[in-house]
Amino acid sequence: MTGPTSPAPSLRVLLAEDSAILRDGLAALLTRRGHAVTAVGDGAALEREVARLAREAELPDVVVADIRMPPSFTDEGLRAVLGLRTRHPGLPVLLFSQYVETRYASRLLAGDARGVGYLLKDRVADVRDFVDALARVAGGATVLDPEVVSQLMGSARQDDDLERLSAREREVLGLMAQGRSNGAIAELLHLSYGAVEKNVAAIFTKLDLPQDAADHRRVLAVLRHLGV
Amino acid sequence: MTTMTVDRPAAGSVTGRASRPAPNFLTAPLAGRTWREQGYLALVLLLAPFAFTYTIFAVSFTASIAVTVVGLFVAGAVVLGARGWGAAYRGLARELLDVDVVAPTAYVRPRGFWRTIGSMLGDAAGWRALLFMFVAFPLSILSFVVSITFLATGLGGLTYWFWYQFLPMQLGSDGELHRGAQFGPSYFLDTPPRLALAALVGLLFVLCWPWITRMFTMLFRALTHGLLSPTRASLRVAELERSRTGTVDDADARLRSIERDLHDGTQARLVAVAMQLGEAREHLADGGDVEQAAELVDTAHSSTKEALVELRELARGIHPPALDSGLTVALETLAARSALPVNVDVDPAVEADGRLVPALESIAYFSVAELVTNAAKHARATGVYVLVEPLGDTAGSVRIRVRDDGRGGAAVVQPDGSGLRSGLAGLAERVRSVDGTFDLSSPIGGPTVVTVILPTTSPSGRA
Repeated sequence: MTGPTSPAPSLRVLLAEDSAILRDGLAALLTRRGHAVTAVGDGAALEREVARLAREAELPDVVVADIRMPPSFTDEGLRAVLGLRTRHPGLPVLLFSQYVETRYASRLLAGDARGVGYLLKDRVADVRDFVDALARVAGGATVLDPEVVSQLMGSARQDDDLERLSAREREVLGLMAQGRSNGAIAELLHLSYGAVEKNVAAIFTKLDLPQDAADHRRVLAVLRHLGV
Repeated sequence: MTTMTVDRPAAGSVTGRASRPAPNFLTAPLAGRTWREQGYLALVLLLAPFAFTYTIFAVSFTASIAVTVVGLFVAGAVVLGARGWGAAYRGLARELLDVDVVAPTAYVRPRGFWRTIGSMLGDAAGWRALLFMFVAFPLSILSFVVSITFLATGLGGLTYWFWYQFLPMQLGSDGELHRGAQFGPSYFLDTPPRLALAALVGLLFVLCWPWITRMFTMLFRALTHGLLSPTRASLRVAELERSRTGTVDDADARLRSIERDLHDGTQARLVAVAMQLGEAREHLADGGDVEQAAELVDTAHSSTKEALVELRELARGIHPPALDSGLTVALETLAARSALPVNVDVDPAVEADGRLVPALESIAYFSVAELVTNAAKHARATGVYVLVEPLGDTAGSVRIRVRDDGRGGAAVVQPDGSGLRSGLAGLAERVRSVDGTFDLSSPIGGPTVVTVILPTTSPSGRA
């Protein structure tokens, strides 16, 4: 658990956000939790900053970027981040935006999904969850906003395979797609760890997915099934 | 001097090639205009057999083969082809008669085979051109014959004294030999008074000839206007299509700008507030730093107030509440809120017969708001004068004149496809969407005067 009273290991965070209010607020929030924050205002500045840090062999632990930034106010942040991931494979990135688009999620997850996150900006209101998600992305996990997952599952509703899942199993599948571990799922759904494991096993059998231990591979398998 | 006028093309626009002074009675036969008119009649006569054949062909031949699908297509093509004839006749009229008639709106092929054939066969411009050619045939023969008779008789009479000497001798009923034109059994034009009479009659005919020509070409002018110009309805449709596109673009641009304001302003601010409150809650829940929590709540509180101000501004931008009390009140409120001194003068007659319809009030209000903002932002004006008054006695429209003392140089910049456009272009579109006119005069150095005229009579301009 992270929180004001129990600071997590300090992360070097590179933040790209064009709205000054949010940029300053977020930087202050993360700094208060003991992280080192560098903030920039657009996608081009983000790429320059990463290039500079790369020369000094001091890549940030995680990049947090707004998707819609100047100058075109469309998907600047996403394109900048995709470029960074090509040049620095495995660089953890967390994209956040005021609305989610499954198309953006697809582009983001098209390559290696390790250390990738995509959240609604609203999630920063639950500070603890947000900081927790940031730490998980920095640690190589895949984190998807529940909104993205529900959109994906909504568009996959015609899928007969999903019909075969029980209501509980669908709930578990949704949380898996968000990148939650079995432990976290058990806590969120007030289930025993064993019950979650049983549900997960049932899902994998019914959807004919390869069993795999690593969390991010599991997320990916689920997302692939949902058509990302 | 930058003057741009956006208005509707005048229906069937008739713009003579300047108003050259009409030649007087004596010089008319020598005037270029008269000879051009005679030339027109000659050319129209030359064209007439071909045009008439085309017309007859169009009607009879195509009617007989129209029973087949290919025949329908050929018939349609013939009807459309008449537009080409129309263009040729318009060109002749423009060059020789100084009649500049706007071409009918271009033919637009609809989707679908049968609809294409239907639209070709029913092409009004084509059929009107065919009708023109049909009527032009007898008219061109008559007018050329009559006008050339006047010219030939006149010239012949004028020069009779010279050429009568080469006529053969004839025996009159009086038993004498005469040389000259013969009228009746023994009346010959061979005495000096009679020669003078012939010259006089010739002169009379020559002097009358230009007016005969004028009369016939007037008929052709009328025909050209009536049958080769676009119909009022087709002009109206074209204008409506144009203004609809403009309105859609304008609405889209406005929605985009509202979305951007919401996204960058209020939404971001509320996210920040939620973040600050979330953090404060954690401080309090964990029994942590109460002082810091209070500080965060304080920041969130002031952010909320700023968000409220932004939302109010945004809502005002969508529909100003003051407009609910009428245009006069709304404009006075606008003036009071403006950073620049704005002098608003609304003629009470504008709202004497009741309020304007909301759409017009809204357009009037936002036009003024936009222009006042421009004056402050771009023109560096120190004052703006707004005058709203009924136009003319009938109060059929309202004129809004906004004048600033800034540096001028404003221009209507058309959108470049990026979704962004100059405010003035959007404004002009909005005004045109209700059949109003927008006129901008903004010489470098100022002053900038914008005149917007909004019709209040149709359709139901009053609430």
